[in-house]
Amino acid sequence: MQDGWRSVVCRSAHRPARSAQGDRFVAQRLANLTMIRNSLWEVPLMAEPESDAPSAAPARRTDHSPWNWLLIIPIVVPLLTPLYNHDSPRLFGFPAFYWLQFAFIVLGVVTTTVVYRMTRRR
Amino acid sequence: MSDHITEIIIFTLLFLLVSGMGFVAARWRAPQDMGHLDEWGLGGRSFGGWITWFLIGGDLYTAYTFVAVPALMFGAGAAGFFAVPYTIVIYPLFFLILIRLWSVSHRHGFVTPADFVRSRFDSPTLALLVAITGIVATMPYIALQLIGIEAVLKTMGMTGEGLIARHAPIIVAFAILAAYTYQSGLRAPALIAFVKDTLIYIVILVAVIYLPYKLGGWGDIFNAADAKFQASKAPGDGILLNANNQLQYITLALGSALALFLYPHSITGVLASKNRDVIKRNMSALPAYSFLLGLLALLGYAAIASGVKPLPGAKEGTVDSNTVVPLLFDQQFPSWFAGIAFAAIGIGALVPAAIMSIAAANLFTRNIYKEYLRKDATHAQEANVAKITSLVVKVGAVACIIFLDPQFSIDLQLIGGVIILQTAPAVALGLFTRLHRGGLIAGWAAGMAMGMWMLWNIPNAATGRAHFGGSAFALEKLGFDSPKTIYAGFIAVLVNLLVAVVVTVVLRAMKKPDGVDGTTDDDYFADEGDPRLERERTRPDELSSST
Repeated sequence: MQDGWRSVVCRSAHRPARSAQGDRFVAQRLANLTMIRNSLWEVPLMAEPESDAPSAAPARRTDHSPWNWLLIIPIVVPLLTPLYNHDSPRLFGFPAFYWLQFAFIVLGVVTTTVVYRMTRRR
Repeated sequence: MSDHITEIIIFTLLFLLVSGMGFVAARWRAPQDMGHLDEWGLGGRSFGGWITWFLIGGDLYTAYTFVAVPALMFGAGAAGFFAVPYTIVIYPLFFLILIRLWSVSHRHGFVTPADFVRSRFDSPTLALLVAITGIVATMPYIALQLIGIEAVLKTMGMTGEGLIARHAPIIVAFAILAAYTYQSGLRAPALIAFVKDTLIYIVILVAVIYLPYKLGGWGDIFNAADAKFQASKAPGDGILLNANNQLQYITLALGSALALFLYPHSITGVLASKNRDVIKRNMSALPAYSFLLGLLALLGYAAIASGVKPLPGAKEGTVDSNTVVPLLFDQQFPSWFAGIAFAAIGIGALVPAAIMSIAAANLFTRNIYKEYLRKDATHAQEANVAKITSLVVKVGAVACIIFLDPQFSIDLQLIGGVIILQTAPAVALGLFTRLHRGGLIAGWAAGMAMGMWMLWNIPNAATGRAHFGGSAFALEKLGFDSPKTIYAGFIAVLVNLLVAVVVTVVLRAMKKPDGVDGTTDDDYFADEGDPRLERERTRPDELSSST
């Protein structure tokens, strides 16, 4: 048992699949039922086992990446009004309030693009 | 009416073109069997990057937005520009949330956010609350799209006297929309969105180059706006924010961003995409629309500089500020171009209205009809019920506009933004962690009560109303000695979250049953064509072999 799995609890409670599956998904549904029958594993509040040992458990997938932290920048910067609530300097006649916020759109695009490229699964 | 004949002809021709496309859409990427909610309600879950970009873009940036944001700039100035930070923040904010929602929905065949909640928290009650919240929040949004069309029709003089004559063109337009949505489902707005957005992009780009040239440059336009706000007595306006409305600006942008992807129609657009990659790439591509929206917002100032006077409103002595942008095009451009602009706005209303009615229909079908009325409904029955519900929803929206004061729809939409936010702990946070279902229900109720109380207590000095006068709640009403205002939805969702966490802790301490999580950790990473999807996953023996 490695560290990552300490937080995983085993449950004996079992119920049949409730998620509706299509007729056309019969095969998938069967797989699903098997999965749920076998799925005695529950992840409790805030447990993120894969973050602890991603390399040691290659079968587990994850969205975790240090690159994701970059996403905070375009969330925070456009909300800092003191940063851009000014008339000057003007650019092409646009007060700073307006052209800076247009610039933040570019900031957002660049950030999400970088994060997408760096976290692509290969 | 005769002065607008060119505009009307172009508007009508483009409208008929997209109506034709709406009906043909049923055969576009046609499945073998349309009798399944995945096909009618989610376009087969097969849309690639470009279609998704047009579809979600047409879905989020609605005709009403295109009309109301410049109107807000025209009336209040910088405060109306919150739409830009709002639509910047939203994509990085939801980047990691939406891919998880897509994966778990793909894995389990969820069609609505309430489907997910039902399975995740093992609580039909919580799912019902989420579904009803979604439907209630969406209905007035559809009605608002009609207001967008109406602003255009009014400018073209296509509105007669009397209750029916005044609304006849809208009734016809919505009847056609209802018919092709019924037939083609989500494929119709997806196909029409191509035309709508192409038109919008052309119109706006021409406008932002041509108008400054005609009005003496952007510098003069901003100065004209500044002069107008300097002269007005209203305290909150100006081309910059003041000390008291900055908190409102920030919280409104953040709160609206949180709310937008919780709306059922946005989630419908997301779930219709074919894989995680499409969603991630769109988080970088969709801000192109934000750029467009920002430029469009500035047309409100262009309208000030060119001396536009809005048309009278429904009641005596009021003005319909939503007519500002249509009037600007009418006065500053040749009539054939104004016709194209009007068509862009009009068609722009049809795309989101169609997606919203589909989303509301999906919610009703999956979380009310199948859950409570007919548990053994087949897929064909589900699809049929959804199609009929989409008709009912549209009739309801038209009735709202005809029989109620349009202001009522605007108020309801304001409330809608606040109440849809109350599903955030279950739908968005629920993708990452599991609070107790009882806690989530309690939090939802507390957030709703708080939100309603605050909205009720917001007066509007400009219109002389004592209640539901806006979304800017005065902090002094909460006992703070401050003239600042804050977005009501933001406080409400904080209260919601606090109650949800506290009640969760209490219920867990009392060992109240938590329900069985129908999803597994790995479901949140599932992707299209994943070999794991075919194979059964997360078997205990597999897990132990990897440790």
